[in-house]
Amino acid sequence: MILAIAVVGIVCLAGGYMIGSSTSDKEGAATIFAEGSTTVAPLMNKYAEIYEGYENVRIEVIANGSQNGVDAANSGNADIGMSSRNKGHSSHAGLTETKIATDTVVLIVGSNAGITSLTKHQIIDIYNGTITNWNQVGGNNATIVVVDRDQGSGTRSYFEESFASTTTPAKTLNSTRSWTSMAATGAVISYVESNPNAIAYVSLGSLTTNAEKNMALSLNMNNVEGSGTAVSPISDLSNYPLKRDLVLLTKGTPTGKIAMFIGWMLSPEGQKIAEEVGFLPL
Amino acid sequence: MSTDKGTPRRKSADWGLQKYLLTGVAATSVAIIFLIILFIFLESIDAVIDIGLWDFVSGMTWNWEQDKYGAFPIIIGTVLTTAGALIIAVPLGLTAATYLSEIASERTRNILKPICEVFAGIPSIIYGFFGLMVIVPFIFNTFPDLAPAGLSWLAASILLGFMALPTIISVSDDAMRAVPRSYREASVAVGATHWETTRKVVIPAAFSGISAAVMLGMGRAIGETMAVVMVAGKVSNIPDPLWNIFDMVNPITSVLATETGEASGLHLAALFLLALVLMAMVLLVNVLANIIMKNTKKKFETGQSMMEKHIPEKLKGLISPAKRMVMLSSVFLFVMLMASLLLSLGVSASIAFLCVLFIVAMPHISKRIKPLDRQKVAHSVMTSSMVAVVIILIILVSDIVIKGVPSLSWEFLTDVPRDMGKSGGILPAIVGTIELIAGTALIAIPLGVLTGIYLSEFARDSKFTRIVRSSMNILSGTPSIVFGLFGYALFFHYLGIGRTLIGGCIVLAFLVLPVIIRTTEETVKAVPQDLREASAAMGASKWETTMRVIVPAAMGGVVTGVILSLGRAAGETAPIMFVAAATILRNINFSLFDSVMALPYYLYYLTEVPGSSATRYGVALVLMIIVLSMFALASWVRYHYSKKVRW
Repeated sequence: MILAIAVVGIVCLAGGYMIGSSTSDKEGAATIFAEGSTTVAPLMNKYAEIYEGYENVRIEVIANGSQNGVDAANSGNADIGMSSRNKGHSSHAGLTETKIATDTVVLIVGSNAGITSLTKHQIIDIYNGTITNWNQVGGNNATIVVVDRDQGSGTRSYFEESFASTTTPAKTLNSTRSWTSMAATGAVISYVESNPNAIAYVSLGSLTTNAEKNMALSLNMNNVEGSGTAVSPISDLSNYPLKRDLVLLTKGTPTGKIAMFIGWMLSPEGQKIAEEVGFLPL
Repeated sequence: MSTDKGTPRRKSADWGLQKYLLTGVAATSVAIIFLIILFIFLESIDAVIDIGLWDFVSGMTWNWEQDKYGAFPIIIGTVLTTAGALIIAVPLGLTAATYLSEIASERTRNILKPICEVFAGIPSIIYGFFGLMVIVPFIFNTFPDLAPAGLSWLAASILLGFMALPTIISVSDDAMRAVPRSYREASVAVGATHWETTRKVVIPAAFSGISAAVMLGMGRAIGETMAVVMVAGKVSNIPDPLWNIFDMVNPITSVLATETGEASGLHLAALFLLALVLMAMVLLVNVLANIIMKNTKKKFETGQSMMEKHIPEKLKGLISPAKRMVMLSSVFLFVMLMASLLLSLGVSASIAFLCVLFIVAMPHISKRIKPLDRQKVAHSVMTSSMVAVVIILIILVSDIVIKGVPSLSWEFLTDVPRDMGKSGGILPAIVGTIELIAGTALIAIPLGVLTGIYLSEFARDSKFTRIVRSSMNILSGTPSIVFGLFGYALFFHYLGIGRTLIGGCIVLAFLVLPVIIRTTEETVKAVPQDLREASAAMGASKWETTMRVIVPAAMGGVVTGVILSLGRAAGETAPIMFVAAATILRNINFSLFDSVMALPYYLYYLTEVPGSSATRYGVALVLMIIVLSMFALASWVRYHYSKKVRW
């Protein structure tokens, strides 16, 4: 009896899939896989949602960090690798890079921090564990909750490169303590929204609502302690320092549907979408 | 096995073909089980060679970008979170079980038992989600200086404690119920109160069963993944100081869940070695539990007297001054260390001293209270434990239901996700989950049920079947994240097919296979021998007897077991997150070789999308409804068959 059920089941399933696959063959929907940076993923999802309405393609986005984007493009697991490391970054070697927009990295803080700007020196000291309370940088008396990103994150490597020690006096990001790390840009934003004492670095384009944008700090990136002025990423974006490329990686020059999809992203319509999502167009 | 005792052997030609078929199926399942275990061993060999076992286990730094694989802080993380979970779950679980077994009326019991089953049935991703949304904020608001991040060892242990509770309650309840009635009657007859009987007769008699319950709960806590990865904080350090429950940790399962998706080469091998360490820990705990349980069974079966042997020994053991000193000083140390996290050393030492004083004075105080009043106090403690357990469950379920119901709508169930999951619906995820369950069922049911029948009815008891059984036990206790790791290595590195529906079905089928085999074997074996003999006496062949008499008689149990394991598979996140699940799809996938959306993974993904909390709760609610209705179906089947089949 069980055998009979099993046989019937298998036949049904096989039949179902033959019908399923034959109908989808008729439609001929090719799948484009995009994998990598959690910063690029929201933009890519938006692109996919709109582009699927134009062309008969199925676009699948997996957000798991820039390093995975590089690996997936290299191994062929993905047609498009997404990376939030600058164009020409050493890890991109051997892959074709297409820059689709510019992103801005901002520092965001929870509602109880009590500050609106920080200097490069202060940020380094917070991340290396020298400064542990918001009142040491002019904020409220509360322990700072430092949030980091997982290894393999493009945003993390950009943050580390930007705050690598070129400061006077010299300082290092190397910390004696470890911070909690999160797997995705969105997870970081959700967490900082809920934890009033947190600080984290994220992509400006991922901050969608005004409440989220209000968490972003003005930044004084002057290397010499005590000089320079802070620039707001919201009101004075063009002068704000931390900018980096958003790059799509393909193995060789993209062809066919993938080339069309990427070409559309670079078109005025695609660039307008990038701007709407919160990135700087090319 | 003695099952074919008394069955006249007819010409094997009668069922030659079926026999080969059945043997073939059983051999396939057995091969699968061996291959998985072999695969995990082989994959980790590179790590053993390149890193060295000792350096791996004792190394202090885990950093894959620098190829440093020191797992000591990670293993400690697992030990600590599990210990914390037990400190929460054991007192609560045991007192609640005592209430359930000894105090509750039959009617209350019939309500509370299923409630415990609901508790056990909630998928771990929902516990994790609840932890992230409710417990973590609670912790950073309550202890803003000690645990400013909220993410902590404490948060993980609370969740794991909740998850171990149902196991501890139901197994120790069974153990206490199994104490023969005569023991209780004898105790009452000599004038003991109900509570004295419970404390001095039932609990000592059920002691080994209760220890096994704790062990099994511990096994569950060690292997839990999703709940831990969401709240533990992912910091691969040893807490400073070691007892600082407010520090962040990164237990083994959390590392596996975070890093598997990006691992290759030595990193992947190191993760497999980590998985082996995890399996060894679970195995050790489960083997201990099994040994303890077997001893209990023997004890009752041989009718060894509790009154003469067991109790005096136990009491002597407790009274013996050395043990008492050790117990008191460990209580002192524990209370002092915990209190010192919050208070100054002097204050915490005095609190700890008071605690010890209280314990020492306890027997003297209680002597002054009348036995019946003492019973009242004890019973109210047990009752309030049970109430606490029910309240925890109510908070958890009502949080999801109250916040999830508003987002349920026709659109939500029938639309595709829009705007990165912040709006739109979840149809592809519902369909994907159903496809995964169906595929899993198609692979696992024929294999599992037939193998179970084979093992129960046809297999000889040999060294080989014993090896098969123990491999099955190893696999059925293996944490689900290990299957995720296995699937990732298989489908990405060896077959190179990436995320596919078929991959997800295969991995989930492997996950439930040992459970289905074991349930089938046990249920089929439980069919009384008389039925076999009667059938054989009528001239039926072994095959006819099995298929026409034994299997139909065991059907209820088999179906229940199958549905329960599929229900578990439906809620699993860890095994499919690397091999099958896509974050967002805007169409329904009917191809075996494309990825699918699945509700548990979609919930995990949504916790990473800011502004999606309405959708999150909706997904959590739908997932909970699907899984719990499968459990409800299972109990209906069990009830239905128990009415139909009697012997």
